[in-house]
Amino acid sequence: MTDATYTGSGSRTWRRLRRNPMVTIALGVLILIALAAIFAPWLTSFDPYETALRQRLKPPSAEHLLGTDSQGRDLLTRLLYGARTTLLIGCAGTAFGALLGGAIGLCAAFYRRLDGVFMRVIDVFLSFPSILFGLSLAAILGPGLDSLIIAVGLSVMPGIARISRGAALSVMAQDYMDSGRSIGLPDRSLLGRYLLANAYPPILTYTTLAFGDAVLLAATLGFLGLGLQPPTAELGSIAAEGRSFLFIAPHVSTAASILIFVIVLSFNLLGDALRDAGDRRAS
Amino acid sequence: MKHMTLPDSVMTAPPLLSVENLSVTFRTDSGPLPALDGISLSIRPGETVAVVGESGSGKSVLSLAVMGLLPPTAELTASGLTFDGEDLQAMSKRTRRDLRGRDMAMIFQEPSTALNPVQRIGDQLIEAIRLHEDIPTPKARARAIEALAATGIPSPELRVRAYPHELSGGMRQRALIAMALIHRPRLLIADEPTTALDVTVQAQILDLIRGLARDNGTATLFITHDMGVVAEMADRVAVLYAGRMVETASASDLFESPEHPYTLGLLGSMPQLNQRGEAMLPIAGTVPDLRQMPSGCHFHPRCPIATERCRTEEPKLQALEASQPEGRTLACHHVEEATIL
Amino acid sequence: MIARLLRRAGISLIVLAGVLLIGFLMLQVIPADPAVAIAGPQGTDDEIEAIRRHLGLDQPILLQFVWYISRVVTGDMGQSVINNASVSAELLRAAGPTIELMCAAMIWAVPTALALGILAALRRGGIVDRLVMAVSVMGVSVPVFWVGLLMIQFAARTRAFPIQGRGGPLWTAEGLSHILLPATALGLILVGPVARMTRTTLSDALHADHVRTARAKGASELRVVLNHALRTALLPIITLVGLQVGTLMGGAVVTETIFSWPGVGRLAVGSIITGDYPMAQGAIIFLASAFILVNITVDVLNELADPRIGSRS
Repeated sequence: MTDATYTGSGSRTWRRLRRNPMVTIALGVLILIALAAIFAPWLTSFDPYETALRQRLKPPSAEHLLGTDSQGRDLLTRLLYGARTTLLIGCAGTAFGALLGGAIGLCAAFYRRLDGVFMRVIDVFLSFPSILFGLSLAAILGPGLDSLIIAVGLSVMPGIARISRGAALSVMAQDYMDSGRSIGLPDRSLLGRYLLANAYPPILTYTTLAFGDAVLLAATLGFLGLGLQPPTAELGSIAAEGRSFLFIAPHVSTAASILIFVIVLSFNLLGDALRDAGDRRAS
Repeated sequence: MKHMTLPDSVMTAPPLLSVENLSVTFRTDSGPLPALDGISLSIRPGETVAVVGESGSGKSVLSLAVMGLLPPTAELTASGLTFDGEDLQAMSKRTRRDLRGRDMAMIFQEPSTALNPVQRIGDQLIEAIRLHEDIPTPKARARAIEALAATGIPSPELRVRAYPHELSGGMRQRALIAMALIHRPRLLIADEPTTALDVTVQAQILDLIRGLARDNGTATLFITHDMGVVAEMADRVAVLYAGRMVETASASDLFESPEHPYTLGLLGSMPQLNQRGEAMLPIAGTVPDLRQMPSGCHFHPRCPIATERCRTEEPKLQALEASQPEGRTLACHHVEEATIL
Repeated sequence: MIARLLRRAGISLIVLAGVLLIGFLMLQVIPADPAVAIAGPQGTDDEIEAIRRHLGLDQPILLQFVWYISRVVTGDMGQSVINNASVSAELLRAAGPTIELMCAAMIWAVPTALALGILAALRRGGIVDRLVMAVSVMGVSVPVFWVGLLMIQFAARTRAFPIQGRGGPLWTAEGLSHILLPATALGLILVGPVARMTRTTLSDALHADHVRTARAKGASELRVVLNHALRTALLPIITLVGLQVGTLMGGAVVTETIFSWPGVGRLAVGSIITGDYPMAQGAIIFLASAFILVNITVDVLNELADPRIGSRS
């Protein structure tokens, strides 16, 4: 992904976005899933933790829209709560990574002396397999929420650092930064009001794309057993649970995997559309 | 003015390039974009014709249309487009391609990106040679060195092995000129060849082009926005505005008695042509967006003598003083008043 | 040029050192006391103390770190807590299968992706282009484990290929049939990103100025694509493919787990879950170092191949 070939014109971007049907669909799907996840307790009457061993592994029916899992729990309920967890991890992790990465990138652009070293190290980390972050943190802190969020954050951080640095540099090349500096504004003000306020579009675009990767990483780590432990509902670990009886009751793994796929796909489509809409070369 | 008077034999010869009523429209997501509207132009063998206009006037599109290098999204219509008597529109792709580089050649504005960065200069020249002539590589290499030498590049035997990034801007442009002229084409199209170069190098390149064209009898279509370059190089001038031709004349006629208000503005904006003490005439406004072309005469929003008629009716390009062998044409409703300005 | 390479290598070494440091800290931070784990539930306090002294756990941290680095450099990464096997020996044994799997995946996935990307770039905006872009977006979004699970389901139904473990060297029929499914699953995650990058890079190259010059010289479209556009596009594409090793490694960890492929990835995951910290530490350090090494190699190759980079300061 190139560093910031973005135009400053926000309104033109929004106009192009609205014209793209993919954006509407993706956004719609995401909002739907997010709402369903948030309002899960109200949407389903089943308890995601209560087991009913007589109802194990039942296929989809009128009562259980998606069937039941190996503990007799309603699969749809499990998925809704699982989506909640997975999205939460993705959100928190991405937020953490975005804040950290954004700060590093802006500082690297602003304080040129730090730039060289920062960016070289960031470059190496940029292509690091994100799984490794997950593995390392699971090894150090033990599998759980903390290691997941930090791992996701660290995998997202380098890309955002690069993008925010690029955006900051092009903003800094503009005259109004110099005029702000010349009237004696403190660094804090310059960074916040001038730099951030104008540099955010590509950061936003990349964050949307990073979100998809974050969810994917969280689910994968969950699948490997390095995430939240059962009986916590998490999409990746639900898919892993279904693995043991893949041949007799594939609906568990399949449903969980499809849901993950749809979420990540929507984020990626949205992010792609954002990037294309903001790309100067597209016209 | 440094151009020479063309001999009578040339003046009466059939045109080398004849463009009649050429229009080019681009298909885009936001609708059709008219880049050229009814352009007519002819170039005689050995003649240098300058096409002048600001950016957005469509002058580059004209050169690409002649070369056949327009992208697939471009729709071209013309009632006549002939080169050396052959109809370019009726030609097969193969024949058209054979013309390119051999009978008509083009040099572009940006020498730093026009050369293949991962290929040595010599190899690029050799490719140009062997695309049209089947000669063995050592011979081709020798010709390449000769061609580079002819453009004044020092130590051409060394330069052939160089990569583009190892040469200066001026040298790159010389290499590109060498490549364009290697088959002694009858028409050279030069699209702002000096705009991206240092001022000191510009004059050298212009001299080079003029000299080589004269030596080989090459007709030149010179695209530029710089009236100073026009004064240096052109026999005849065609002024383009927003996709339409507004005036054509011999270079001397144009500079002595310009007719069209736009031409006047262009000349008035040139510092060196002004007498001391006279006010400069900058042209108010900017070139229109292709998507929102003004009605009637495209220039009317910026024209100091525009009237109601200019807003509604498109002025056709008409010949003035038809008796003159070089012919002047003008597209303006106010032929008489323009001369008063 | 040498200076640049050295500088990049230097940075990578710093990162490697950081990785080792983190690896070392891992053992310090974990709640379980390795001495206790080794001594077992019946261990007396004296025994535990003896083991601690034996492991050097009573020394100051800095000394332990130096000692640890020296051991790693000489190839000793300790013993597995579970079965007392030498960590480095296990890693070496598992390295081969992982490399084998990753190579097998790349061998089929990269040419396929290149072909798709080239096709899409040539017919930009056409059906093939849209299809390739759609497939690649989906390829990037699909969880690796699902692809693996789907393959397993397919294999079980058709009984065509084994779904577990490694059958032997690649050149045996047994070995080939065992590697087929995991290599396919792993390769599939590569096709999307590489095809898309190829398409974008080549598409840009086709609109470059020097390509226009080539057309103006009278070159045929085929020649323009092969000699001019591809030639300048191939370099960044190859670099990008080299960097995809990271994605591949991530996918390998999952694929090995699903198909019980005896590689480093499966070792890493397994050892973390069972709490075998020395093994986990060793596996993670191994993976990280391997990745950094590949990165440096790609950098070097890139510098050597591009005539432009050498003379830039």
